[in-house]
Amino acid sequence: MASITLEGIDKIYPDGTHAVRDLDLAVADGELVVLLGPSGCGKSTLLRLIAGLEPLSSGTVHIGNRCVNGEPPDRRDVAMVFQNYALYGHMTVRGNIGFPLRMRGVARDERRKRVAEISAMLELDDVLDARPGTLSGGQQQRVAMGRALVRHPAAFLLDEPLSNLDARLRTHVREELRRIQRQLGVTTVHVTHDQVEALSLGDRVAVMRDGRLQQYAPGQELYERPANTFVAAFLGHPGMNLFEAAMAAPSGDGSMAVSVPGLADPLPVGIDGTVRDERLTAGAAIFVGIRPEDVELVGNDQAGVPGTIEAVEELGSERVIHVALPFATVDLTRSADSTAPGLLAARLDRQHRAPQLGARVAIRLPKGALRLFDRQGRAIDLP
Amino acid sequence: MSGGGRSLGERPWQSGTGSSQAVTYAVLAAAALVWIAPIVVMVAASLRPEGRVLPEAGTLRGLVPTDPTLENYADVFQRVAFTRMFWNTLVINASIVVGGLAINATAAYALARLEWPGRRWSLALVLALLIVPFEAIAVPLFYAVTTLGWRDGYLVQILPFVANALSIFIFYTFFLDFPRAVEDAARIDGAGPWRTFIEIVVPSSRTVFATVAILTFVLHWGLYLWPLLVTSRVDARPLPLGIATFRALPPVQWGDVMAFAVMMVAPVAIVFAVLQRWFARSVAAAGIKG
Repeated sequence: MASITLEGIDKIYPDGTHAVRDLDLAVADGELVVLLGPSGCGKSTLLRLIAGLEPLSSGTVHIGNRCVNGEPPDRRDVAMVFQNYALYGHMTVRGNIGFPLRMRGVARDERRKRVAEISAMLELDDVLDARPGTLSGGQQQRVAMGRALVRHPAAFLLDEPLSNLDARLRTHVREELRRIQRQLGVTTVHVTHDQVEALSLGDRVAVMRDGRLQQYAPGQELYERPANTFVAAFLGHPGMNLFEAAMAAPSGDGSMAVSVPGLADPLPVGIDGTVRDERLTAGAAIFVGIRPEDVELVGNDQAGVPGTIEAVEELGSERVIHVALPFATVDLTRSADSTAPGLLAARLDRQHRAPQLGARVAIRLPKGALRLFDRQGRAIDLP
Repeated sequence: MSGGGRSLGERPWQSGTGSSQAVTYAVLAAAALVWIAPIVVMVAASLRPEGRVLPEAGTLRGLVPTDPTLENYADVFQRVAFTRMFWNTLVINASIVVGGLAINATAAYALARLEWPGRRWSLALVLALLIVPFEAIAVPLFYAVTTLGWRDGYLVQILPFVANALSIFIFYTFFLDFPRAVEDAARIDGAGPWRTFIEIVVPSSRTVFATVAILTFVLHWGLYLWPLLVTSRVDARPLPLGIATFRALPPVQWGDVMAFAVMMVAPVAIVFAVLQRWFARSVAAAGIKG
């Protein structure tokens, strides 16, 4: 077991692609850290850099107290599980799991013993003599895990190991993975683009975008206190609603408000007028964010921002409505799955009666739920 | 492959119905006959008593072995050192195939997967060599082996054919498509490039090894020009030279010649029959024309 420390990591491919930029990351001994980000953000590259499968352009990788720059993968004492499992198709399950031991010259008896231990833990006893091609996806996944676990590596690197499983199995294997990781206490770096997986598995989650680390914190903190607009909009289904605004002059009671284009009255944001931050001076351009579940739908007769329901997503236990308001929301993640550009998403529980498409509604944006970001997208931390 | 998203497993000639299908089968049967008839004639003639071989050669009776006899086969063994020539051909070919698989696969893997200075130039050179026919280099090569004093042996008949640009190219294209994650897994598991190649890549590449083995074997089994240049002793010669001289050996007996021919092509048929399962799969997968 060991910690992993990355300092000033850069990776530039020969074709000029800058996959990872000046990245620092520390993974504590026994911790499970998830690298999360959209495809192409550099998270898999980062994992390959830790494994030694790609040379660094600059920076240092420490595993334990040892700098492993320039060390080949087999001397780094890490094990890896690949997205498509990368099993050795011509070997039996036993051969696959025992392979890393055989390569390290472990004697046959010891090898058999350790393969038996692992196969018992992963419930692979019945298929030890089968070839990987005859196994189900879940079994293949466990063989890949077994091959990684069998030599008790200092660190465990998982490259989207659950993405080839169907939804039900994925949840099951995810829990299994968490259990094994806790049981063995092995330092783990897990790459995924699935935020549910990231938030449920990770002790901490590192969100990446375009090769840069955006935020590194426990999942709940990422969700509640996103460091920037990207993290805010990337996490959540749908992500945080963001819209442009400008700081308004403090009102008489000293509380702050923002003026939103299209709205006559300033929108109170729940900040005490005594807070001193130059980004909060009157007239400063900012982004305002609110989570869909914090948006309140109120009766037409009550005070609120008027809007029209343009889309309704039924999600079983809840529903998400998309409301056209006098102002448009912005899509800062440029994610392809943003179905309703410019609309404000609101998450409603089942107690609300079914909203009608095209219905006129009024919504309220509670001031305590609003989060402010400067125009560079950085969160303005409120006390 | 024609358009319309037809998959590899479908048979385009089965798509029609009724009369159009009958026509298709008739054409296919005729084509098959053109291919198979010479082989049937050869086998039938080899089993016929000597006096009846030529008179019946152009008739329908020439396709049917009536009154079969093994006389002609016995004659071959009596009249020439067939066993010796067969052994020569077998040793030479087996060496070319086995050596070729080892050398060309290794070279192709180095070209496809390892990083080393000059790799791109080497690859370009191999591709360029694809278009150089052996006949173009036969004479200078002949002077070279003469200077080395290598004539009349096995080595001189094996060595020039072991490294082969076409084989390297076939292996190279196959290895390019080999899943990189599997090799990465092997590296992390502690296998260096050499062990990764031997323990992981080679056992997973049976189809391409079978393809190259068949191509190499078929192409070199009938080699004629080079052995003619470099062998003068009869006991160093392979079968193709043997059949050329046997055909002209008086008295010319066509039944014997056909028996010789049958025994000469039999190994090719056997090798193909054994390996064709993988060969067909890899031709289908890679689109290589056999």
